[in-house]
Formats: sequence, structure tokens, C-alpha cells
Amino acid sequence: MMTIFSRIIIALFVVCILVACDKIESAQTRNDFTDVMLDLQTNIQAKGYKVSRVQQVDVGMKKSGYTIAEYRVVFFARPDEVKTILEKYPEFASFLPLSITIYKDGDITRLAGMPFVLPRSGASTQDLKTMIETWEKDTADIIHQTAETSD
Amino acid sequence: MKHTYSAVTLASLFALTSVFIGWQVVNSKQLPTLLRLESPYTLSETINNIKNAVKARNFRMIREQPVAQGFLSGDNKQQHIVYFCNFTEAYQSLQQDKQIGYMLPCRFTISEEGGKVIISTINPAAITRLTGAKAGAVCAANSAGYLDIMEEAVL
Repeated sequence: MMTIFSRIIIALFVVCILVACDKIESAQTRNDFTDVMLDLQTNIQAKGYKVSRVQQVDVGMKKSGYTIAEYRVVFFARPDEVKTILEKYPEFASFLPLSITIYKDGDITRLAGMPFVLPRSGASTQDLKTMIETWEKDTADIIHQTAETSD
Repeated sequence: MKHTYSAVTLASLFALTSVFIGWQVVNSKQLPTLLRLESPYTLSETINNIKNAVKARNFRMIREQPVAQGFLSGDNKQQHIVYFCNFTEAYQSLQQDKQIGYMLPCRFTISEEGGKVIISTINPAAITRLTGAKAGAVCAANSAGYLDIMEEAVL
């Protein structure tokens, strides 16, 4: 009987640790980096977002004397949601635009999202909370769709 | 004997779990998600002050733009982003944790909110705490570094 209780407590402890660290959505593919980058931007647009910029981190690094493999950050958002945030929730402007990181890691191209736990934890209204949860879901969908369609 | 051992183990795990949950609850309430500071200067003066403070701390200015740039045309120019980077720190951080792209480049948002000019940024310490990211220190070395820059800009 005690053993069952012990197992429950151990399971609870492990769950607490896992819940405490909010994961960053990520996926990987063996397809060519350039193709994955194109798929990523197509999938972002398919969800109704606009890509505003691609930050070429590896290029900036190289200019400063540091060589790294391809490493890009794709910035995106929905124009109407940018308008809503700036007008109704200006304190959340720090979380815009959204971003997905795409980088080469050996033969693999990896995709990673952003930690939505931060804006989610500060959302003051249900509308804002819903918007952030949609961003989180869409980002996860885009990342996994891109990794799957590219494979 | 076996029952005594199990009871002690159970009590220890229960205590550990309780302490851990308590620690998380307390920390999540204490740590602000955003670092925010009001500026006594105008929006454009504050943007210039931030740029100067960033450069004074050996960061390289990447660019400055309205938050709405690329999304909205027209009058949405009350919120600006200043992007900057210390490539040496960014390189070192990327060696530890390649998933930190969402923190690159480092950035401040300067905005007018209800007649006040506010400098804000995502708190690197909150990122580290909430995500377990190994390289939460990528921007401005740490939260204190960010606050130093913000305070210098409003002096």
C-alpha cells in the first residue's frame, strides 16, 4: 500500500518538474535548409500571418568574425492583431512580432518557436489570453507542418 | 522495518514536492515578465538615449523601427523597437543553447502609453526561470544589464 502512495508522490514530483519548465515548441527535418525556409514562410502565410523580416543571424555573426551554420529568425504577425495589441494592450508590444527560429545543426534543419508562457502569464483579459493561445497553437502547427512537409 | 523505510521515503518525497511547488508559486509571482521603466524624455529623445546607452556598453546597434513596420501603414508610430547585439555574447550563448533565436537580436520597446513614455523589454531572468533555457543570459548579460541600460537612458 505504501509503495503505491510512494509511486503517486514520485509521479507528482516528476510532473511538477515538467510543468515548471514550459517547453519551446520544436521540430527537425533532414531536408535542405533553403527548402525548409521556403516551406516555413509558405506555412506562416497560409495561417494568415505576414512575414515582416528574416533576421540572418549567421550573416551578422560572420561579419563580426564568428562562423556558425545557417541561423535565421523569421518574424511574423497578423496585421489586425498588431493593431489590436498596439491600441488596446500596448504593454504587450514587447512580444511582437512573433518569431520562429530555423537553423542548421549538422545534417539536420531545426525549427524552434518562442516561449509563450511569458505573455500568457501576463494576459489580463480573456480576449488577450485567447489571442496568445492561438499564436501558440499556430506556431506549433507551422513548425510541425514545415518539418513534415519538408521531410 | 520495511514499512518504516517506506513511510520515511513517502514523507520525504511529500515534503520535497510541497517545497518545490511552493518555490515555483513564490518565484512565478515575484519575477516580472517584463522590465518596464518610465522615461521623463519624449519618445524620440528616449529612443536616442537608448541607442547611446546600448553603444556605450559595447553592443552593436542593429536597427530601429516602428513595431508596426511591415504590418500596418499610417500613424502607428508610437511604439518603436531598438534592436542591438553583442556578437561575442550571442555566439557564446548559441554554443550553449541553439534554441534561443527568439531572444535575437536583443531589443527594447519604447512606447507612448497614456501620455507616458515607457521603455520595456522581456525579462531575461523570467525566460530562464520559466523555460529552463540554458542561455537566458544572452541579452545584456542578465536582467541587471538590461536595467542598467534602461536607467542610463532615463537619467
